[in-house]
Amino acid sequence: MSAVTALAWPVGVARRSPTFAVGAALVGFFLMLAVLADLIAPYGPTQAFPYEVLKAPGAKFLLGSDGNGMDILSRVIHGTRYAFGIAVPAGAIMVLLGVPLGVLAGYKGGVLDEVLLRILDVLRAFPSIILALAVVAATGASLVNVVLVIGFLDSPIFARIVRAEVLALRHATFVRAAVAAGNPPWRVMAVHILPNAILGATAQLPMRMAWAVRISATLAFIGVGIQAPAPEWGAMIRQGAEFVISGEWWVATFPGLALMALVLGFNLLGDGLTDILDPRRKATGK
Amino acid sequence: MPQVIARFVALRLLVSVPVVLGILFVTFMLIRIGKQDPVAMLAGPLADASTYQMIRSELELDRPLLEQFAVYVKRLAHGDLGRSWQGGSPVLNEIVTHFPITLELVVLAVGLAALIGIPVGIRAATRPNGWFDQLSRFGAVTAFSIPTYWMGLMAILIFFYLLRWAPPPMGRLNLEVVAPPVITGSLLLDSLLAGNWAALRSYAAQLVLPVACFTLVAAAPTIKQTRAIAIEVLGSDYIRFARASGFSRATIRRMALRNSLAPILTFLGTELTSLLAAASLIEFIFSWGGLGQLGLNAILQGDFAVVQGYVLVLALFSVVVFLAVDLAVLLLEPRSHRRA
Amino acid sequence: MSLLTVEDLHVHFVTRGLDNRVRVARALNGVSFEIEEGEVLGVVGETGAGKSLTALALLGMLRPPAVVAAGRIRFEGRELAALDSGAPDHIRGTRLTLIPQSPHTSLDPLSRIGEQLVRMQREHGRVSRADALRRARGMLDEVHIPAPEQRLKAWPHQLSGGMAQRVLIAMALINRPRLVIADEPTTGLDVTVQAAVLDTLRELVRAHAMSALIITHDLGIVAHYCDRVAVMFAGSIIEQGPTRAVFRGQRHPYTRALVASTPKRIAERGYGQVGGTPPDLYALPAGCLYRDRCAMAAEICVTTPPVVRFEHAHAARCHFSAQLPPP
Repeated sequence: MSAVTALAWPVGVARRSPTFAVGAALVGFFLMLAVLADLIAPYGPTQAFPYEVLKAPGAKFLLGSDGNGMDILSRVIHGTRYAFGIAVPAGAIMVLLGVPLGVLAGYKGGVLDEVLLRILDVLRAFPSIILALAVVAATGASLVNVVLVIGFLDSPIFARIVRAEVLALRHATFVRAAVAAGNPPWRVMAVHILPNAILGATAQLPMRMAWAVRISATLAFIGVGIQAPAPEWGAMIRQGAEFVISGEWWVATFPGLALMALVLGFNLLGDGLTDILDPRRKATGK
Repeated sequence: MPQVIARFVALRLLVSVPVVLGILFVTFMLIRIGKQDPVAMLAGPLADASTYQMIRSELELDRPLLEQFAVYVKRLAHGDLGRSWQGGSPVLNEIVTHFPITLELVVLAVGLAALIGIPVGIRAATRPNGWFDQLSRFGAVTAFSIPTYWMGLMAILIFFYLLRWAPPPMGRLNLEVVAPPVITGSLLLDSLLAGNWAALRSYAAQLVLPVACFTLVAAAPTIKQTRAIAIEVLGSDYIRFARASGFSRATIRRMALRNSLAPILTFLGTELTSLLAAASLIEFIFSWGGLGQLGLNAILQGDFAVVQGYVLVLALFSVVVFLAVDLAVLLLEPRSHRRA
Repeated sequence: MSLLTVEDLHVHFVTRGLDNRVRVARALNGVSFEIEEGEVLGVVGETGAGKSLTALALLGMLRPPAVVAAGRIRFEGRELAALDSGAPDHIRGTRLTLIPQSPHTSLDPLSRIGEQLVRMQREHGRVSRADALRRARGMLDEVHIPAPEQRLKAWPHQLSGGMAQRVLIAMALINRPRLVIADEPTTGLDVTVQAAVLDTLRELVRAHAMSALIITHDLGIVAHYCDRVAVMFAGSIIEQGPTRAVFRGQRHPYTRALVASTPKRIAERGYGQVGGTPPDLYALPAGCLYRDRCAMAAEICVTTPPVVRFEHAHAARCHFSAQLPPP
């Protein structure tokens, strides 16, 4: 593939869905920050300058310094590691738990399906943020706990999406043909249904990851999740909240901007994926 | 017809009881097996072992978990929700005084969000992928991606600190204003009824920021869902047939709107319930003093009875809202008459 | 002058793939036919041949990415636009109407039957509600729906499939159109119901001296209900003419393959086959569009086949039409 044709692909995708392009760019940018944090950040994430507390953005501290004299820019950059460190494992848990659950529930039906639906009912009535709060408050604030809680909480939602896909696929001709040909149920589920069901759910994954980043920051902000001095954005906003009234705006603003940008990036990515995948799916269809 | 409605409501309430109990059970267990130790908080660092034990048994935390739950449910059936450990007032009273505060905020926000979001979503759906659509979707996603509490902080920063337009975020009324007597629980209505213009003005001014933030958060999913619903309706066979039969645009629009009503209503119900919980963050930032703030603090401080009461309110609220919405849909949709 | 003339209609779908290259699907390639007053034309072809698309073009419902690359549509002497202009022209819905494919989903679920019939009339002219209602009731009678008075008050979901299809026929005919398009009017109906519905349709068409265009993939329906037939493949009409002439002559290899694959023929002569896969509209062959599947394809087929005319306005597009032995 020549350079010209290789370039055509990003242009084509960007044309097809500018949302996807912007989302990918944002997420990619933050991912790069996460990977290169040690190289890019001017100071360490918890490196404190006790005599330069609450300095406004300037030459030494590009985004200002916080109440402990730590550089906000460096902390924001290192915070990307926390964001991805939560979103990616949580996302993995959601997929590893939710997809098989959804496939089983959708294909087998029966008791498993009923139980899943009841759980979803409960979740629907019970806002997950409160539940997450209670659970983390109960089990203690650590990175692992936060990841586990978020991953577990969102898997039923993922399962529901996959289940809906599976229900539609169950009656597809190729599936019925596979069953008629004598494939055992596990094989039909794994080989025929799974790959097709995943496609629709894939678009949801970035949104769920956006949710994971959001809710972990919210938990940190309330004081239940990861706490200072870790450079988690929610914790940073928490610290910055007390300074908003007195005018040291930078402490809360920049972590919030970063948080917003990354969540936006994930959401746009997911929206864009839906755009790209959807009409093509309709065309190939059953 | 009335018997159909009665039967529907009865059946729904019956089914809801185990769900609500389930939610209560999970909450109950979670906060008791967790790391928080309210006894230690109440007893203080200097208490000795016997004081500790005494407080523990007074709070009935030394009994087996299931027994505690059974006792709680029994008391619940008599209207006793327990007492707050931070001051001892009955939880039921706390809920009754604080719930309307939050409710007012949520209803205002959802109302505004619907007023803005629904027309925008519909307009976006009529010309999918057009500039209005792209712009509104981008705006919606951006608004949705802003952390609520941060938005509140920024709003305070810009409108209070920088521009001096908004009053200091210290609660619903400025300190010097006298509150009107509580009749409906809604401060807007109560001030109106009492003719207390000072309170009305002060409250309205204080309302602007929290409601604006909240509306922004609520409008985003409203736009997205309305658009999705409208697109599906506009792509349906009967709309296609109406077009093929040369119906006027106005008629087609009316057909589409009527058919979108039920799903939109269902969605608004979901919004209302999820926003009730999200309200706690807004209340926290703006020191609003509503049920959300109460519940949030209770969770952080391990005030078990209040937490349970808060969760109970959330669960019951969603049951009622879903019931009302489903009832409305039942009445709107002739198809469901057949099943009933 | 014919009631409807379609002249060399070319419709393309122009899109951009993910690789940013423009892709053109040639969906209709030179469709030409005429319908006279009082005539019933059947359009047959496999899925994707362009039958429904032709109907959409006639109804002015084509939207981007569809593009009319060439051709004209003339109805009652006036030119019609195939693309959706957004504004109703009071021809579609009154003089040119549609009986759509899926009866249940084509009815407004939130309006009673009577209301919808009334709306169909009042959208296109000033009729009083009372008159419109009376006409509606009369129309339900004409389509042989029992107890029409009660049916007026019924909701769409309360109707059976056959009944819903009859209601749609009523809706299509209530404004006394000159031409009615029936798009697969029997999909999803029981065989017995199919026949009854089609009989009713034919009866009404004859009674009011209307013309009809029946889109179907069922050759039996064509044989029984259509005066003339047009066989479509890959967006073009490869053979058309009086029904009997076409069935007797089968002057195109595709027509032969189609006829050979009907159950009756299979019972008589065993399995024939319409070999190959549906043509890729993005990459149609040059010359004869059927040559990739044709048993008789030869060198000359790289050039566009001429229209070979036979008696009684029967024509076929094939280099070998004249030489084909009788089927």
